[in-house]
Amino acid sequence: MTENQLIQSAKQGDGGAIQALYRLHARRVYAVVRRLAGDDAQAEDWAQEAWVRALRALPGFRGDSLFSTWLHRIAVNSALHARRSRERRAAREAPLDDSVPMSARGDDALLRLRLERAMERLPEGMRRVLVLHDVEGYTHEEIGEMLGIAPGTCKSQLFKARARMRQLLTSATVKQGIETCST
Amino acid sequence: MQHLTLEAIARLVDEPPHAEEALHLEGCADCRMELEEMRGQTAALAGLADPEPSPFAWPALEARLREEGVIRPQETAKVRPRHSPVLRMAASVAVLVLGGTVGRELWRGGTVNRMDPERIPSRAAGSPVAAPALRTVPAVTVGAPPVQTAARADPPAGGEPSAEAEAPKRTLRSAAHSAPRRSGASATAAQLRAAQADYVSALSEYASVADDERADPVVRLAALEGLVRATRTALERAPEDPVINGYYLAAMGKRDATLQRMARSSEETWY
Repeated sequence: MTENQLIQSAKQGDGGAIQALYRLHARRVYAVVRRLAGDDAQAEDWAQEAWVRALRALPGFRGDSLFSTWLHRIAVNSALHARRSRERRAAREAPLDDSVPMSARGDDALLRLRLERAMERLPEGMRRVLVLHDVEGYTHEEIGEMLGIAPGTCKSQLFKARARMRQLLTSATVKQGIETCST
Repeated sequence: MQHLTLEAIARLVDEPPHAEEALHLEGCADCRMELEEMRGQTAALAGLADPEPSPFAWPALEARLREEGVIRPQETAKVRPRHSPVLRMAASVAVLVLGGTVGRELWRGGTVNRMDPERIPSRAAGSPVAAPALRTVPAVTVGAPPVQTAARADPPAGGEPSAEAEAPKRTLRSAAHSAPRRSGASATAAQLRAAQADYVSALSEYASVADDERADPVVRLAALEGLVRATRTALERAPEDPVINGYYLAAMGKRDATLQRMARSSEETWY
């Protein structure tokens, strides 16, 4: 059964088709929501909310864009909405307590873990823009539309976020160097 | 000139440098290295693998979707597939087997006093437990429990039924010995008819999802549980009947296989 057929069946409330669509796209939905949420527990709630919103809206899906694009956008909007409605957390920035040299390359699994953790420590506004632009690949115009900010503001936030990430990762590296020397 | 700020370097990942920034970069190895590191960081972010959702996420979502009516409540019934020929055959076989059991029980209820127990070798006398002469029908193995039909071997021409052919009767006889014969036979027959109805109902329920690839495994499991219960009940009435035993074991096997598939699907990556 093609994805279009699954979508048509899912519109009729076919549980099997809905499950099949879920299995095709759950990982991408969860990934973006997880990075916007910053923690697993929140991400699971938000991902479920995103799916419920998307499936409720599915009868209105006309196929003007790819289903994956449409769904991803709903997931992002859902997560952003959830974040706005949640009470703002206390400052999240904190130095990393363990580290890996930033000179390591992107194919390093440990580096990927460190990047995820560093992202979690970014202030909310910075993380949203960094995730949507550098991880998810949205343009500044698209992000501006989603967040209700000007593209120039989005750019400014992105550059600050990258710089902050660099600081977080570098400070970890320095700390590691100190710890290494003291031992 | 002072070093470029981190924000400026972050911008240079996407945009060309201004003239004075370009000039600085030409003469500053530190800033060039910092820019390379920033580019590496950005590339690494773009290449981050997607984390996997919890395997429990779907059951929770499904429950909510059903509760909110997004998944149609009667979805299973509406897409109920036509029963496959194999399953229809299995149901027919079930009727034959259990119906035959009822018939034999009734028949024996009326004739048992005329039967000569001596003609039937006793197990207690040390004779081997003769396997009933059942014909195997390989086709009845897909999506349905039975692997044997009740098509007993014909008795030798002009002779008495062989001991092998009599074996199922022996089994039923021993089951019936625990109750008064005439009234007991009627009661047992009624019980067998009820067991048969339950079995056919359970088999029908299972058949409705057996061939549907999209069928919810939970629904399939529930149908198999019903089938196991029905065959177990039938087995309590005729504990040594090899055909019902075969049904029971096949239903159990199907149920276990479904459980294993469900466990695997929750562990593996399905994308």
